Amino acid sequence: MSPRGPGIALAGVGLSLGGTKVLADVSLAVRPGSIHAIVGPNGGGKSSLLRCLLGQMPHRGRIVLDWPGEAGRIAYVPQALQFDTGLPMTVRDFLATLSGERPAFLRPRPATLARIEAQLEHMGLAGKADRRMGALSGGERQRVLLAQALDPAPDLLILDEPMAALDEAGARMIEAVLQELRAQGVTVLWVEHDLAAVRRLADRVTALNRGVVFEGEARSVLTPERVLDLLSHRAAA
Amino acid sequence: MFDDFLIRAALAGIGVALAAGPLGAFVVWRRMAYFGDATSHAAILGVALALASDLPVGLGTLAVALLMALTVSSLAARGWAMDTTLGVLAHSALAFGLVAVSFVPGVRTDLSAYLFGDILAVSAADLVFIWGGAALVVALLIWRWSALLTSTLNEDLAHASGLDPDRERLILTLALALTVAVALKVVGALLIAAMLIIPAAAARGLARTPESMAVLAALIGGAATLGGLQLSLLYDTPAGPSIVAAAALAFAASATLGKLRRT
Repeated sequence: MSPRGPGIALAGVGLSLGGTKVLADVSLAVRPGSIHAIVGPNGGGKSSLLRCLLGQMPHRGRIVLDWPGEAGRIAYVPQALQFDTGLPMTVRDFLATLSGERPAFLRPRPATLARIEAQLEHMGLAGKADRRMGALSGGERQRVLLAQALDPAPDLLILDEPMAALDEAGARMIEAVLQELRAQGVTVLWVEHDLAAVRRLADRVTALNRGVVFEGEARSVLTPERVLDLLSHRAAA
Repeated sequence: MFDDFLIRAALAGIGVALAAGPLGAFVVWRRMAYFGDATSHAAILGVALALASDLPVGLGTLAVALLMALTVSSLAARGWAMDTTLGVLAHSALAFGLVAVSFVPGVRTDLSAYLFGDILAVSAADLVFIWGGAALVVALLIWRWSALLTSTLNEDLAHASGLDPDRERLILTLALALTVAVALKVVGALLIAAMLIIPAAAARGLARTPESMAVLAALIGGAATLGGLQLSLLYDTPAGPSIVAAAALAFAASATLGKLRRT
């Protein structure tokens, strides 16, 4: 199947925040329709790189999305939500708000509501539509975030440590979703700490610690020595 | 029969509550309480500059509050620690404002009106300014409701959904500066943040949706205005602080009710 997701090219991307160099001269290429993982230590700039890609950080260098045809849908699963957990918002309201079909102060259309129920069922969250977002466990919230990203179907999916709060069943579900997306030709850019999952699922991997430390085929490049070097900061840029 | 000045005071307070309630809901959801405080403290500097340059006080307040909010947002975006930046700017603006006011002849005796409000001296022209400003804030919030809510949930997520979170933050900042300008005469610079935060916090435990929380916050703010004015009449207490005290009682009642519901 020909890829429907874009290729991504980053050239000389740099970012400084408050005098601290967060990213320095990052260049990498993501192939269209592939699963590309970004790994590295905490504070290595992985999430910042995603935020640059989303246009949320004023960075140096160039980031180009090369779509096969017309630009498609970019979906994003953040690591966490920032709002006050007391916000009186149910899971259904949350998904309806993000679907963009909810005019101010009006209930969503019946078709939207039916789609939300189906999304939740697909993510193993049937019956949770009336729960408050703030009352969900970390894993449940992560599944809701994934649900919003998958409908409408994305062409580029950006994931920021989606497995961090998930139990084993949740992690298996993410793996199934990633394989499904690869079969559909969706490009996936995936920041992840679980290196075993990266070896199993990613096509290519880039190790990041402010700069690119190494990159290559996920199955072969993540050797124990390289991983130890990366995570013990010996390879700091 | 109520006196005219009391009716004007009640109308002014309700006007402020209509804007501050829904806006306060966003302040609470986005954890911007200290941001609201800083913007309102800066209003005193606006008062001083307006009095020194013979401009309308509302305009001076609006300009300085907006400048303060934009400065804080821009410094935070550059990686400055938000709480320290707010602490430095808020108190500096208040201090510089108080110093500057002391240089303006004939103003020193009226300073408490700007610090704690003078709702009983609201004129018909003030009412037009307050209701005009409040209507603008409410219109802004209704117009941008879905986008503001999505940006509040997660700015990156909002950006991926095709929204511009920076623009939504700017709209919220503008609404905040407008609310500070219209609320100055009602509760004063030191207590404006209370009218933003307390009614919204009281509504949070009772509401089932974001929209109902915004409406409830406005209603609680309006009720606190009427209750505070009544308190002020009965016990000859200062009106602005009495309104905030009434809002605080509403918060305590809501928190107790919420606790009883859970047990």
